Amino acid sequence: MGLDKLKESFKKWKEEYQKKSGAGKLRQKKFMSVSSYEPDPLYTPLDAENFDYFEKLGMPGEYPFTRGVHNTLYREKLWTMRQFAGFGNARQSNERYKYLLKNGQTGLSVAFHLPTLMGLDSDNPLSRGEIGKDGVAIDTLHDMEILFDGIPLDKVSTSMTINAPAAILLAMYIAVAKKQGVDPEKLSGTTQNDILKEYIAQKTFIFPPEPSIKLIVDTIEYCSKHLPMWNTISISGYHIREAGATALQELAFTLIDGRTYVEAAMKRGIDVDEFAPRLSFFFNSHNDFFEEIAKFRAARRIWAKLMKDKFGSKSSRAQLMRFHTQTAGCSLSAQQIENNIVRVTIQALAAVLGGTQSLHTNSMDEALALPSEKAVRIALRTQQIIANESGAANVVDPLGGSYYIEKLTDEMEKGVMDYFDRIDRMGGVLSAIDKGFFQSEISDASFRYQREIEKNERIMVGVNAYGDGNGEKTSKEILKIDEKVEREQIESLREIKKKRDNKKVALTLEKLKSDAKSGANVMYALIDCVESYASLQEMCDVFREVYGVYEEPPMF
Amino acid sequence: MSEKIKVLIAKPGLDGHDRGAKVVARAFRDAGFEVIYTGLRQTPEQIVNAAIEEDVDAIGVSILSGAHNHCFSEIIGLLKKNQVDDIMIFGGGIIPDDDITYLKSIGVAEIFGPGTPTDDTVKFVKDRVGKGN
Amino acid sequence: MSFDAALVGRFIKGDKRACSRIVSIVEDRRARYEEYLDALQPYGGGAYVVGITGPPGVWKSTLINKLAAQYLNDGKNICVIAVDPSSPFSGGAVLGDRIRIGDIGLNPKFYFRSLSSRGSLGGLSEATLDIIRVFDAFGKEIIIVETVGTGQNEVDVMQACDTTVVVTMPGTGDDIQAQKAGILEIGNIFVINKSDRDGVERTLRELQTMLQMNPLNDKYEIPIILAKSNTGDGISDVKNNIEKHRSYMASSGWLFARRSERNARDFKKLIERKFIKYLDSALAETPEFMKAESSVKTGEISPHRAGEKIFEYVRKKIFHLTGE
Repeated sequence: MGLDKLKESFKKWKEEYQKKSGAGKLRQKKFMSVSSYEPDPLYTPLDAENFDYFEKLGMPGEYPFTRGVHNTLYREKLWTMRQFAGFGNARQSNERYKYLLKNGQTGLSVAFHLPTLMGLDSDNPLSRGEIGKDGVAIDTLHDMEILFDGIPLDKVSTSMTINAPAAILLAMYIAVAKKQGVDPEKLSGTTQNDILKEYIAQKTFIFPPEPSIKLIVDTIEYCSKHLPMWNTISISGYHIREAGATALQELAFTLIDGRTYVEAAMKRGIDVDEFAPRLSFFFNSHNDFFEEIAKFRAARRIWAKLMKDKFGSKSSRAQLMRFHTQTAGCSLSAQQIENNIVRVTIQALAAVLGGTQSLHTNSMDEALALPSEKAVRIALRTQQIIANESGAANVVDPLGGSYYIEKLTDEMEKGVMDYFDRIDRMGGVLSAIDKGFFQSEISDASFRYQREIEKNERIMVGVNAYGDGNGEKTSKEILKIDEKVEREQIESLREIKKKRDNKKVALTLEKLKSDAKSGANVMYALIDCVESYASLQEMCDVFREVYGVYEEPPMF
Repeated sequence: MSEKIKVLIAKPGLDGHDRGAKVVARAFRDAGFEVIYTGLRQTPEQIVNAAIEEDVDAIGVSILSGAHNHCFSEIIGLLKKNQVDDIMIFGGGIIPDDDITYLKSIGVAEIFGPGTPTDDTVKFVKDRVGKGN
Repeated sequence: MSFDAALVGRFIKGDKRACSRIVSIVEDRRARYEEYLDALQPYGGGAYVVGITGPPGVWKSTLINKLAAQYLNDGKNICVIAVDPSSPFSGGAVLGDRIRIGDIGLNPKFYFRSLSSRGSLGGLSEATLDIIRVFDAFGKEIIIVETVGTGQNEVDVMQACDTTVVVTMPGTGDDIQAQKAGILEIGNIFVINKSDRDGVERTLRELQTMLQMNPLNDKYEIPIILAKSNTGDGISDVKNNIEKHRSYMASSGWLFARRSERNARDFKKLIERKFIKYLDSALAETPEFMKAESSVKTGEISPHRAGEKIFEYVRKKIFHLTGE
């Protein structure tokens, strides 16, 4: 190959570069990624000395899965186009789901409003002003039935973004399927169900960590017996990134959360090869194209090694990491919102080249409100154009072998292992949460990012550069939630509570309480509660009583 | 002793997104303000009570869940009820223009949306509160 | 800024906002703040001050919150003053202790006020003692002062409070050693919080050993309480021990002695400060002072010599004193 010739050439090139850099001829003082990482200006085979293809990459679909989890990847089946949606009442969201499916979406993703996420009913005083504003209002099985009215659950897979009350929403979904006459064994979808990142980033926690993890293991155990196609958990980095973490922190914190769940499930005696194939992940895709692609590839490699070496899994299905990606909400601007279409395109392309299994693209108006119909259609078309017109789906891991990408992937892996060491020395994830470690890392990173923007070290087009001066008025087309949704939802809930068999509800809730107290798997009791039209808050209140309520450490 | 500008940064309602609130709190601290941060999920009663007990000059409300019209009007209503008329209210988050117009009509001094440099917010508070600092 | 008698009037009637305003005037040392303190002097005298200190991470706030709840349950009128360090660079601060308050926050007998240390090396803002007086005048029966214990601060806390509670948690032996500086000498009650963690026996033994060497322990046996503030375990013990210490302080005469000493100390400090302030303005522009200062700066004469000279100048020319 003539490495000596290359070394010579590179040395000369570097000297030339440093001359220009020293003389102030470069555009900027620093060239950094979104995560403030500073790449070299050039990568060559010299960065790939001693590169072992089978150790680092392997074939797609084979350990360590760096190149992808499937041998033909998108040639056989494109990623699922799964747009996160939900607002107002169940009827309105049902209409939006049908609209999306009609326009080519291939899977559903449900956004619940804050009261549901926090285990509160719509008639709770704390829910005032929040009904249906940032997700769909679900109080009882009745709402869930309307939500999926006319949508065959044996044909459509559904992802539900729900964490603290995930077991309850899963029970509701199963109950709806039963009413549709669908065998639960056929149900496919995901419950996000990742409580650790709630304490770290998204903050929709209810109960303390230990019982919350117990609930998660209950769902893993239940699904391994009754819902073999269901992804029990979507171990998430998306929210951690949105809270301000760097790409490396997103990756490290997500993977160590995943490790914690695996440890918990194994402690209960569930076989790793049995439950691990149904764990899934959820990542963010931000602006720095190459950083994100390297992140996705490193994620697969690290997880595979973890599952094989640390947990002794035998099947490749337990070692391969499947993930969903969402383009970065925090990268969207409220100014010149059309620019967001471009940002989302770059981010979506990175996710595809990173081998994602399913993808949500943000709409351009999401820094202002929930997506309008027009904006969400464009977001969906973005994916379809990438799939059908760009050639990105024609080759598996097309950037594999790029000197830059491989180097970056390696560095990500090393950075993650460093974080693992630090967190282990602190006593593990729960201990680190207690000490506020994750929260302060994220807080520091987000503050640094903001300062970089304000000092113009970091450019955001349309915001601190190429702005319009006094800002154009935003489009009147944004989505508004009618105030009467709140009144109607509260009325509807009152009706249900009147019409249902309240004696039966009381009995099912009693059983739930005793199962929770005894440590039994609560899924069975939950399904009974749900089918008798107990409300979400009623069930959560039982859990609050038995498990207690979590209080954040006063970490700033 | 100097007179410090005291600002309460509030997260009302159920919204758990605190990235912006924390960034602004830090920027205020670096500008020499004293910031009271009460944490997530505060009711309007708790917010107004804190504002009175801490004798703040301004309340900065951060809200990204869409419940802004309700939350701001509750807070402003409670301040009036307690005969407090000299605390400046401002805010930030995900709030569309039409709603900003409405909020200003009920007494919100300014809304700082995504992309606002923290220096702008600092300057605004300094100018409005008008203390030496 | 003129003296607002109406404000004082509202304060006496129990108006929370008036209290809050006067606390700010005193905290900021705004013009005529002493007049407000004077006006409040006849009121109060019934407050008992409990200092709670300890390093970050021991869950002091949760403990204080639960303790406060118990006092409220007893019908007591209480307040919590939480002191946090301010930034040495900007002078600003983020005060986050309110995060822990929870339900008791809206109880009309409860009041929470955050203070920043305002750069005071002692960790407590100088005005803290005066602020305690304001709350005392407002009718508060128990005043809890919370600080982050790091060294020299603790002595200030002890001097401002009637009973001092030191909170720690199980950890390596090093933690206790590190905290030792000053802490062990000022605590009247010790609490090992998070007592379900590993290492609690060791921490307990270490504390016991160190306390045995503390002379204060001879007069009054200093209790070490195990607590779990998140579940509430041990909180009643803490409260009972505070009450016990309080009775002891009252019956032994220590309480009176301590408070009188505190007032005397404050009186001296205030005189000092007033003189310093006066001299600062009186001397600053005088040629004598400026000459002396520049000579010291260039090293011509020693600071001690220059100090003597200026002192004599002040005695004779400013205070018109003669003789020795």
